[in-house]
Amino acid sequence: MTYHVATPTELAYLRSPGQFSKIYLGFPQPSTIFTCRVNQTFTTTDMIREFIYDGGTGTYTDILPGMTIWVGLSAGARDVGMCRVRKAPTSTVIYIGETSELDWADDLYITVKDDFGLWPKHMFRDIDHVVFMDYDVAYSDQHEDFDPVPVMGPDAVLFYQGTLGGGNTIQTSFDASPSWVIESTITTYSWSAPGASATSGMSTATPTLTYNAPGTYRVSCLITAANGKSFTGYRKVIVFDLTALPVSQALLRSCTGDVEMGGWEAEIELYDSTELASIVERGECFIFARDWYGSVLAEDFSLVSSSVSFVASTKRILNPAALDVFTVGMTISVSGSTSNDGEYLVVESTPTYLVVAQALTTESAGDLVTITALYNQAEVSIGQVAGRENIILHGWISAERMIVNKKGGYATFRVQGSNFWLDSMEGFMIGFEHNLTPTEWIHFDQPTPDKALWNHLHWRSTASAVIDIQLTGDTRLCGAVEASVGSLWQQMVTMCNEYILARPCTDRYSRLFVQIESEYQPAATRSASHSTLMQLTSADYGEEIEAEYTPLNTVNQISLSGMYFNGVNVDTGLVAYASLANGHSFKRYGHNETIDRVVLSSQSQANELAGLIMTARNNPYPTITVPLIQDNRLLDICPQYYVTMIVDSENVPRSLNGIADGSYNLFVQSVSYEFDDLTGFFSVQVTLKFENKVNGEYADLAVTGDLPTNDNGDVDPFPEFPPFPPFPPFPSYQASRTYTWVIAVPTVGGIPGPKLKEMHKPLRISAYCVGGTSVTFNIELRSTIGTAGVDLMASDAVAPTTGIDVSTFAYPILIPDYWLWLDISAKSGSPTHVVITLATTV
Amino acid sequence: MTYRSEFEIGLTQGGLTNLDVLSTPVVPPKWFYSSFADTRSLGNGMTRGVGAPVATWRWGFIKKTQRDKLRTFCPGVSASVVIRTYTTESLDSAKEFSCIMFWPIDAEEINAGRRLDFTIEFRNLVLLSE
Repeated sequence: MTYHVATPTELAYLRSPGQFSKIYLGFPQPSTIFTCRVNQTFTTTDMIREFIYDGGTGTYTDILPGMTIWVGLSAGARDVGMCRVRKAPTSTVIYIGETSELDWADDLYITVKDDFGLWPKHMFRDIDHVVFMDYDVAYSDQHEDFDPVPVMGPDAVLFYQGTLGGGNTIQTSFDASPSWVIESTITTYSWSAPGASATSGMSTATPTLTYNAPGTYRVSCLITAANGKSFTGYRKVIVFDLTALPVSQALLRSCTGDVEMGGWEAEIELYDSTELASIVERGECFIFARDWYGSVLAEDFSLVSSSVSFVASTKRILNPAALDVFTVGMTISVSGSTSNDGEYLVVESTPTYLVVAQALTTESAGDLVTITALYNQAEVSIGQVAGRENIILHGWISAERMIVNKKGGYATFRVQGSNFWLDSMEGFMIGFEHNLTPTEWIHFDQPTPDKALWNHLHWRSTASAVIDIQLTGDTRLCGAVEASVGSLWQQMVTMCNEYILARPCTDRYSRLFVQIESEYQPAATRSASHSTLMQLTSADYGEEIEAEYTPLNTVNQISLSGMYFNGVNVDTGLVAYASLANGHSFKRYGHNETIDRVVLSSQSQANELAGLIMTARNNPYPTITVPLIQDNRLLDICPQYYVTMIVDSENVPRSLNGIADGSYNLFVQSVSYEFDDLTGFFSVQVTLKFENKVNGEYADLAVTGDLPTNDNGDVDPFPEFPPFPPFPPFPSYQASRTYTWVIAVPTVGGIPGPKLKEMHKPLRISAYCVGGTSVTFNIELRSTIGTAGVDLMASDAVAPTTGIDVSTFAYPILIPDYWLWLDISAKSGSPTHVVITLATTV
Repeated sequence: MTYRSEFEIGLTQGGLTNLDVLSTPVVPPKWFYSSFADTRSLGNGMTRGVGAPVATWRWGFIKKTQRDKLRTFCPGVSASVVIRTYTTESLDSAKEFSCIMFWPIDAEEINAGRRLDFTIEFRNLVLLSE
């Protein structure tokens, strides 16, 4: 997982005076893909998974799985509710994610929006206990050849300071190169950007898209893996210009990201009634900014270097780095040079050279030259993702508060990131077990938490299509992985934390990162995965830093146990390990903590992990609160990285164990933005945690622990480990109907069946004859009882005396108000009876 | 040659008009300019100016017709405008800014048909290229 380390230029901006911002809200306005009306009656509103429609406007083949459907009492309305397109529709049927929350009725208005949201996908178990994902996706090879996961980067919000069109355009780019697939590699990228006025690199990982009109645009990327599987991710580009402005009459009341919370949330106030009316409940929201850095105080905004040289022929001022802090249009002052002291206007700016308007004298480096900004107000945003630096928070509106008063009133909205929404969706019980040849959804060949998480995010929600997801990469094997019923987020936390001590966290772009917590990573792994994003100095923070010091141990002993699995046989390939940190004797202070069910690879790893946990628990500086006097959106709560800090020694009242000298690492625990709407100043408060060491080591002392013994004193496998074989996933409730014909002395011809009252799907036809040899038959679906209809089976079935089951159907839907009709086409021998049963699901 | 100040106002940069040549000319104001709206103390003992630049135009007195002319640029409490005003940096050079114009909300002091101590504040100054 990569993150952007502050550049010298960015640090100069962050430490410049005159920083201010303008805050905007962007509410995507997705276009309508298709409209139609419901064309059926419903005897129940429970577990609706599809509906018949008519009166379609648009092209039904443009409807894509994952799109959002508005259901309303009038054209374009969503007053009945919303649901998700489950799979590609037919010319008469739209398939939706199973729902019981909408009051379905004939003639309701359907509007399919070009909008892909976060939704749960429900499971289904049929009467034979076969599990299906998203109602009807049967297991075939999904856990052997995995679907790839597109990591395309966040949505983009573009604000053109003029009028688009007539040759005026604005560009953005995406980067899907971090996309991944379990046990395979990504081979191709195929992008689509409807509405873009120009594109390039559409079959590469990094396309560039150009837009010449404001609007909300879909961007999709179909990625294909070497295993033959492919999957499409969807993102948005929202374009504003001065004719189509974002919402600006808003105040950012709070904006906080917290590792413990797992993501970000913000509270905003809106005043404009027109803008309020356009906001969709639970709607997507982008809080973004235009930012300015730099002003006129020369002593705060200058570069001093003895590497500066001058070239007369090209009017260039050269330095190895950081010159682009002086931007085009700025007047700079040069002093300390032999021949070039004076004022210059910058006409081109790069990190390594400036081109100025005035003449220069060629001069080599050597003098200690000071370059000072005389006047600058650079509009630039600084953030983690290139081209997305302007985004403060991407989330969805979770709550609203209306204030009614005589001044016109206003509304307060709470915007929350993807972590909140995954925590608001219930998931069925999760259970995966090892099977060398997976044949069911609960099987993985060599399960890992990452495989379980992939299934969770890809098959039980739409997350993998709409947000960036990065998993741990940990390859330790589990005999089984399970999580009880809970929210999708809580289940994810369980699978992460209990097995590999990892944590899911979403950044302010709603990107999901699952990482083993920094403090539980051994030294080698930690040094490879962590860099220092920036060093905080007294030019960054305000007058007071508050550090909480806890010299008292909170934990006196870590008792850790877990299991190694060889990936072959869960009965014979499991080895239990136990470890104690520091040992059998408790530390003087603290309490005992037991951690079990951890996935381990060796005894030495168990000991190291126990020691790491002990070090982390007894952190003497768990909370260091630092106010930053800068508009710093480089700092986020994930992915994990280091910052360091230097505090002038004369300002430290007591020793801070090295925190203050810049040599110790700190982890970001929370980030809060405070926006002063009167001045436009956007400041940051960051809470840090000390990276603790004991005697210079990450891991405290630990020894091999004691495995549980039975009554004979023999070492037992852990009674609770490995976990019990997982329970079959909890199914959605099965509603079924059966229609049975019992016919004595059957003859060739038709026999009427019942009239259907609701929509069914045929599940199975079972038939047998008594006496004779066989009876050949089919079942028709007739709109009129006297008129031939369509056969449910592609060819007639032959029912012998031993019976037959048919579960493949040419016509997969039984339509309300149609008739069933049994058609016997032949018989062999002299059967005395034939019994034919049609089982259906509702 | 007539001296002309560099105080200009308009709804767009292209529409900037010198106060001297508005349809109802307005006399040049006393001006104040700050590169920052606020200050914050740093850990190194220095103070950082933060927030957007602020400019203020103040007239010891102004005629009602002149006041009403300025009012056309800001009919409400605030409005987005473009101004050219002197700064206190770079030899007090004049610069063009987009900004928010705030109409004084306190009661205007009227004397002999004139407003006394009439002050207009401009906030969120964004420097425009010229």
